[in-house]
Amino acid sequence: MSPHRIAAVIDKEIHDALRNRYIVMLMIMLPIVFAAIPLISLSSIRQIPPSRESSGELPPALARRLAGLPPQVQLEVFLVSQFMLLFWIAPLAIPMTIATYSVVGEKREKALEPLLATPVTTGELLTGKALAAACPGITLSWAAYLLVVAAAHGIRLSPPALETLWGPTAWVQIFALGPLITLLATLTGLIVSSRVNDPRLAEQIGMVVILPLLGLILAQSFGLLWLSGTLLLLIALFLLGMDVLLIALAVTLFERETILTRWR
Amino acid sequence: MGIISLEERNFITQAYRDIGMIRAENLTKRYDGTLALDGLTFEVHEGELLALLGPNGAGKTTTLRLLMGLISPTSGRVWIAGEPMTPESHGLRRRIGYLPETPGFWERLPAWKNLEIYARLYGVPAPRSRVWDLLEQFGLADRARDPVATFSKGMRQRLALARALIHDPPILLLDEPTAGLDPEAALEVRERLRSLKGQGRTILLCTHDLEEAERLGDRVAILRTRLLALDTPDQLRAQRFGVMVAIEIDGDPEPYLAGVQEQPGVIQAAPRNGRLEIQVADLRRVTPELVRRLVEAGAPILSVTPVKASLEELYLQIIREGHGPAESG
Repeated sequence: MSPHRIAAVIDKEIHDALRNRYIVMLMIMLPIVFAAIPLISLSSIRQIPPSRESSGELPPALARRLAGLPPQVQLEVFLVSQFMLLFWIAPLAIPMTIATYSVVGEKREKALEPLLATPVTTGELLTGKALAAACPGITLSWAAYLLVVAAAHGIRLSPPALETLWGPTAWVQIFALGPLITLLATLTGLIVSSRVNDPRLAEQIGMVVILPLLGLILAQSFGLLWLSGTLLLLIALFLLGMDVLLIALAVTLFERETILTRWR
Repeated sequence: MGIISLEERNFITQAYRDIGMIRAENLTKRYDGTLALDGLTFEVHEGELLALLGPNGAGKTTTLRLLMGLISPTSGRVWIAGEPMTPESHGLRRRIGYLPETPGFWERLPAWKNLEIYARLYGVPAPRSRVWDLLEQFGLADRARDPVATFSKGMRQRLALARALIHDPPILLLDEPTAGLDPEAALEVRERLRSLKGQGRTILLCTHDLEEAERLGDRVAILRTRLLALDTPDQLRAQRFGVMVAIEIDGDPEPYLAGVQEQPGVIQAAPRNGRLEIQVADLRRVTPELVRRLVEAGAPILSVTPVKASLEELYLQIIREGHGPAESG
C-alpha cells in the first residue's frame, strides 16, 4: 500500500465532495443540529419542575445507579446518556452520501476506467475512498460533541450529568464507537456502490447497517437494557472485527472487470 | 516453472523488448459465452505507431483493455516492454499512457486538479510543475481552473491526451482520440499524435478514421473479432489489388488493349473512364516497356499514372470478405 496514492485518492474525494452542494450543506448543518438538539433539550428540562416520580420512569439499571440523587439530576443524566447515543449515528449522514456516490458517481462520469489504468491498487483505492468519506463526518461530529461539552458547562449541568458527558465511557462512545460505526457504514456503502448502478439504492442499502444500532438506542430508551462501559467496550471490539472483515470483503467484491464491462 | 536467475530474466526481458514493446499473444476474450476477440496475435515495435481499425464491436476497446491489464483474457497473454501484463501488474502501468474511448474526468474538479491527482497516482516528482507544463503545452492553461464540466469536446480530448502523458510514458494506448471532434480539433489532436510519434513513443491507435490511420500509422491492423490484416497500407494494397498503372490515351484506348494484354508482366488490363487500367507484376520493371510498346504502336499517350486503391476500398474489401492476407509485419 502506497500512502502517497491513498493520499491522492483522499484529496480527490474531498475536493469532489466539497463541490457537491448537498454534501456541503450537510457538513454545515450536521454540527449545528447535533449540538443544538441536546443543548435545547437540556436547557428546557431545567425549566420543568422535577417530579418526585422521575426515578420510577428511568431504566431500572440507571435508576439503581442514580438512587439517592435528586430527580432533576437523574433526568439530566438519563438525557445525556441518550444524547451520547445520538453521537454514534451523527457522523453517518455525510460518509454514506460520499461513499455511495464515490464508485457509482465515478462510473457514471466514466472516470473509473482511466483511474483503474493507473498503478493504484484496489486496496489503496478503497482505503482512500473510505477514509475520505468517513473523516469529515467524524471530525464534524466530534466538533458538535465538544460544542455540547462546552455549552453543558455553560448551562451549569449537574456534576453527574457532566461526568456522563465527559468521562471514559463517553470517550469510548465518541472516539471509538462513532468512528467504528462510521467506517462500518462507509465500507457497506462502498461495497454496495461497487455492485449496483444507482447511488440512491446504494445509500439506502448501506443505511440498513445502522438498524441494529437504532435498536440499541430504542432498547435503552425503553429501559430494556443499559449500555454499561463493559457492554460498550464489547460492542467496540465487535465493530472493529466487523470493519476489518468488511475491508477484506470490499477488496474481494470490487471486481474491476465487471465494473468496467457490465455497467452501462 | 522453475526459478530462473536474474541474468536469465534480463535476457528474456531483453529478448521480448527486441520483439516488440507491445505484444499480444493469441488473445481470446469471451463475455458470457460471446466471443469478443479470437486468437489475436500482433506486436508493436519500439517507436512504431500501429493503427487498429475495425467496425463497431470488432474488439478494439477490448484489445486495449486487455493490453492495459484492465480485464483478463480468456486465454492468451500480453507482454509490455518484455514483461507480462496482468490485472495485478500495477507497476507496469507506469509505462503506459492510456486514453479510453470516453475520456472520463471528475467533472466538478478543475482541469489542473484532475491532472494533479493523476500525477500523484503515478508518483510523478514535482507533480504541480509537470501539470502546468502540460496545460501550457496543450493550450489549456487559461482554462485550467475551470471545472472540466465546462469544457468543449475538443478541450476534453486535449486534456485526456495531457493526462495520458502526465507520467511521460514510452507507450501510448489511444482509443479513438479524434472521434466526434470537429475537423479543426481533430487536426490539432492528429498533429499532437504526429509529434508524440516523433518523440519515439510506441503508439497503438484505435480509430475509425481511415485517412488518419494511413497518415499516422506505420502499419495498420484490421480487426473484426480476429485479426484480418496487418501490414503497411502499401503492402496491403499490393497483396489485395496488385500494382496498377493507368495510361491515358488521346482517343479510344480499345484498339491498344490486346497488345497490352500480351505484354510480359501484365496481369490484366481493361479500358475504364477513357484510359487503360493495367495490373502489373512490378511497376518499375514493366511500365517503361509497356509505354515504349504503346508509343511504337502509335498510341497518343497523354499521361501515365500509378493507381493507388484507397485505404477505404481496401478496408471495406477485407471487412466484407472477413478474411485477409496472413500477417507479414
